[in-house]
Amino acid sequence: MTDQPAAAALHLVQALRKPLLIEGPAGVGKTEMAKVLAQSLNTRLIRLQCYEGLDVASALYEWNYAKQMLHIRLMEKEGAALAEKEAAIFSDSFLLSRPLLQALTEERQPPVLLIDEVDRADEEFEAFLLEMLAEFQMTIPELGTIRAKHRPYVILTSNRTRELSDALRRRCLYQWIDYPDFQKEAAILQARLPSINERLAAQIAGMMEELRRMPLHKAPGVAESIDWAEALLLLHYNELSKEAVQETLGCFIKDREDWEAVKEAIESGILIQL
Amino acid sequence: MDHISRRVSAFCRYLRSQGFVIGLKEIEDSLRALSFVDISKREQFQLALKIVLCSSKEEQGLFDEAFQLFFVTTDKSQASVPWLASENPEGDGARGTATETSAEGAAQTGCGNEGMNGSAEADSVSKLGEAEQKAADGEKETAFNWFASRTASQRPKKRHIYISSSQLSKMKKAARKLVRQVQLKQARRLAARKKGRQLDGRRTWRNSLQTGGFPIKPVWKGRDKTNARFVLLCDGSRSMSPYADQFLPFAYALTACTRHVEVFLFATKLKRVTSQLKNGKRGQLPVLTVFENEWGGGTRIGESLFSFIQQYGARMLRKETVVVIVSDGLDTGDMAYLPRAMKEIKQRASAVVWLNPLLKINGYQPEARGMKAALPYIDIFSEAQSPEEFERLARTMTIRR
Repeated sequence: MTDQPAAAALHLVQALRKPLLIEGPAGVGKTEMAKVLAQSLNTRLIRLQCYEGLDVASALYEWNYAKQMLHIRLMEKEGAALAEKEAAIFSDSFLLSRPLLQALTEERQPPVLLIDEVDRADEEFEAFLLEMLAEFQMTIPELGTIRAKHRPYVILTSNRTRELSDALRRRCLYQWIDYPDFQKEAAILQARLPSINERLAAQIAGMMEELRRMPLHKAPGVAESIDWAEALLLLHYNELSKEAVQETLGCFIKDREDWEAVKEAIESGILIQL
Repeated sequence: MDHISRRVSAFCRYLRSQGFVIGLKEIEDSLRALSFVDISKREQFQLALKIVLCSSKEEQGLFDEAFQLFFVTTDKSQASVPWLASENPEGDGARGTATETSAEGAAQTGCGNEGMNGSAEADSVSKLGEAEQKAADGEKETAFNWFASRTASQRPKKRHIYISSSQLSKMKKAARKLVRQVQLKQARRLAARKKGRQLDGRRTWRNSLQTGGFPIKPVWKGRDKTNARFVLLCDGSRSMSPYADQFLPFAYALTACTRHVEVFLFATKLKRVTSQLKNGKRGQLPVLTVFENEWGGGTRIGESLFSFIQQYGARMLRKETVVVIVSDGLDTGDMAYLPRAMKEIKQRASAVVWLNPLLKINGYQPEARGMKAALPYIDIFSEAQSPEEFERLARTMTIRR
């Protein structure tokens, strides 16, 4: 399903061992690239979903406070020395490793680390990532520095809701993924849904192409067109008709005004000839 | 260094002069990347370089053009130009100055003409002679300028916008006034504040522990206020340029006053200039560099606003945002976009201010199609040009939600 630029980018990620930053509109398969890479390397995919307010505790590591407390209570009667107790409390078994730490401590082979929608995280977190991306190591005060056993393949995705800093961009390879063209989209549909017939796949791809040209708030992505095709198959439609489209409009239009605009376009026959 | 690596590093240097973020590491990476692909295939060669050297979609576009010129075009004149011969660092330095000279030259002509309305017609070819005189290494300079002039002719020309320094301190005063005035959210909850109206008994009492039980330092509480965020969208079309000259100093003053400002210019395309405004060299006014289609051409207000919503809306249009649009409303684009975009902005932002310089003209009626379409979604429809007028505008802006 991947085309040449995407394949080349993944190839360079493996060869140069640099992180890859993928940008593009929503639903064009940015996350999918990481999955494909993990699959083809037959390795683990570790995913960090970014959001506003994401902090070190949920990205890197956290101590399991509840377990520590319990342990302290249980040890109260034992007359162990203070240093011993402390060492026990701050040991690996009380460490909750979050995605970034997991990626560094993976034992067998380099995992694929997917940092999804990095534009949603705060700028501070981005700065924190820089260190991790450059050195592939980090420091936990109680345990010391943890160095990556195998350098993970890092893939970052962004929807461009905010400009990423130049520092982050500079450290990454870059790939822009746009909506697929007609042929590619039809091929994707056929690959994903083997039971779809060629004609329906082509019709869907053609309509998607038209839709993305309209001034919609949320242009449908590939994910939407796959959903839609699936819905059409479930409803046993073998080709597009006005009625079929109207019944399943909710699969790819997710905004009220868009809904009205598309409906009007279908009614007046601008959108597709049915 | 062999032929390819020399050529690639020359290419990297050229890209760097075009504003790409390329350091030694990137050059090294690009050469390393080439060792992993089949460089006898042009697509693979181009792709590998592109993936390593670009860091945004816009750069990818520029990259493709530059690549075409640098590696693909089989022009006879190209073969005769020894631009790949330079290996000494001096040559590199001289190249840099040459581009700067030509840029400055172009800018000066612009200044002479119409102040901020930089002249884009000053092409680098005419500057070539000037640059050559200054350069020590004449031949290489010619080559580089030749190359620059060829690229320049193929994409929108760059323009420089200067911000006039007259009345800047007054503008800053007006901007401060505006920031102070527009305080949007007033929570019902009382929180500790330095200038609160009520005495916070609990905190005062708690703090008095430090002073042996005597409440020496009272703590006050008051209602929590949030300062507004501003999004300024300035129309830079030809018809607007004299007014934009007045507005940009204000925009600059506002960026100096508060962090929560975003500034955009638009003509037929939208351009975010916030970082350019903020990153002026210390003690100097920033000079904005924009492309021709973002400044000084026709206007597509609707499409520009719409692309603003699509690209930045999720982050910038919030309930504490005040959107200021500066335009005469003469839209030459598709009229379907403007009302929808305005409606969207109105819904998502706290207030929409539209400054139209034509209001100054006696008897002006907002009859232009664009203006008419936008009017229902505007909270404050006004005009302001001098610092005093901006200050007056700030005083009338008591938007509270």
